[in-house]
Amino acid sequence: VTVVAPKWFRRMTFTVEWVEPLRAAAAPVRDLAHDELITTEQSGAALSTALLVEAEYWMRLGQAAGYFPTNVDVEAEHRPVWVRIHLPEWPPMSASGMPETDLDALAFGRALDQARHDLTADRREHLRLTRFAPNEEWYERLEEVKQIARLFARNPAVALPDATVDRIAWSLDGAESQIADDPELPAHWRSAFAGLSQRTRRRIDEVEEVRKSIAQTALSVAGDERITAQVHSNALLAEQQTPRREQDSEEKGSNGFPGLGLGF
Amino acid sequence: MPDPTHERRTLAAPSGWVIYLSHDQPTRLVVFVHGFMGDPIGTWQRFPGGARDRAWWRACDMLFVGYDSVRDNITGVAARLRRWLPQLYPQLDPRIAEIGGMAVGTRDGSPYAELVLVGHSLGGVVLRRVLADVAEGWLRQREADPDAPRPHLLAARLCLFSPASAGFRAAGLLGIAQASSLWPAINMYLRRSSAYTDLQPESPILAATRNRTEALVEASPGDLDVLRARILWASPDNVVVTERYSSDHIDDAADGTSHSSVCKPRAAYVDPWAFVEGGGPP
Repeated sequence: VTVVAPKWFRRMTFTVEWVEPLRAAAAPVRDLAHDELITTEQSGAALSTALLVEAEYWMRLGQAAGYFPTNVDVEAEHRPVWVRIHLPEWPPMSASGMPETDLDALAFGRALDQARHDLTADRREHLRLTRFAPNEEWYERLEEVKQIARLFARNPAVALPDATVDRIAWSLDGAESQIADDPELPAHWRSAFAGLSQRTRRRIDEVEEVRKSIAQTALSVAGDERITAQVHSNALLAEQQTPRREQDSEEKGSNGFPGLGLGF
Repeated sequence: MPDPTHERRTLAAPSGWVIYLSHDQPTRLVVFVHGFMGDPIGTWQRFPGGARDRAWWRACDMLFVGYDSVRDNITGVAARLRRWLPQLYPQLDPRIAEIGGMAVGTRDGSPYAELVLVGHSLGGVVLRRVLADVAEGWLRQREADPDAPRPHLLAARLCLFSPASAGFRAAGLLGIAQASSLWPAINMYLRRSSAYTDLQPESPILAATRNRTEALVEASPGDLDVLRARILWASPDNVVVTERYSSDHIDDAADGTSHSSVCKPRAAYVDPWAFVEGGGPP
């Protein structure tokens, strides 16, 4: 075992843990010419291709931030045309050929960690479906979400099997990103940035429409619960503070229900 | 230019566990277990930064335990910790500190001398469950063999940030939405996931964990001090019931923090670092 400078260790770790698995996963679509040809089976590999290009950007930015070593070239990843339409023109290069950044190594490391951890299984599925899935699959999966939204609206107390919720989880928390929407960071393409392709923009709008309806039902459930909880707590308080004789008269009329500012 | 003092490795197993390896020779392992809808990095990522100014952290490796709080349950995560922590403490597998024949700093291979377990919210309940199970197992072993060695985990210190040991303040969807945010809450509500039901006020698993812990401490007060948590509550905490076990140390609260921010140190709020370093109220 050779003791090396931390920058070299980081580069090796990032390559082994992140880049190499992405390269292997992206291989099936390496020679694909158009995104219209991407099948459901290939769409996961297409997402890996985009993440691989993003990883290259992280490597270059990490060099500029002093996180990765600069005395070794970053290998340019294969960029098919169909993946380029999903990624912004990035990074802006300085005269030295490296991206310009104000990030130091510590801040860069945090941003990279967050970007990796943001890719939960549900988040990946959201990215795969909105960016790379063929139309037929997209509308089938969107319809599943619509059906659950209608069911939830009809019966807000509904409890569903795990497998059913797993199937639509991409449209619930899978649609939410926990990372800062910073145009200077390589993960920016995963957010709803201005350069989204027309097809992706339309898909995000379509699923957002259904999400609004789900959120509305959820807020009504939570609102009812808040009233119930407040009534319960008011009753307890009254019992603790009010002499028995006065309680009898208070029970005849209630007042002071709280507002429904849910504050999520 | 600030430079990291630790290097990250993702463990091959269990899935989602990440260790930050110190550039210096470590003498202790600090294990972090996130809460409801937290993640191993987002919840704790400010902790490694403390090593720049606080020498205590440079002598630590930090293990960040990840789990899926929508789909996992308390018992399952606790069992995973019970199974895997003994493989990392007191002796870390040297292969974890190497990659491709490279290592950062020279480690002399000596075992850690100290273990600190840190939990936030649901993570606090998970850790209490782990320790109650390990302690109970050891006491049973001692009935058969009075010389049965004490498990290393029972030599730890337990530091909890706003643990959910007494459940959410509000029941139902409202409670989980306050503990996380709307969308994960909907996800859990629709499936009535295990963690969702486990954290409802007066849930059987919360009551059982409390009863077992208090009884164990009472039965073996000196041997099981690890079960007596030190707690730092958010103030105000609008998410969990801020009630400690009768066996815990006297608790404290950090004014001006929320349930989510109480465990996130920064330059103007160093209490979380100090709390874990000292194990007591800052």
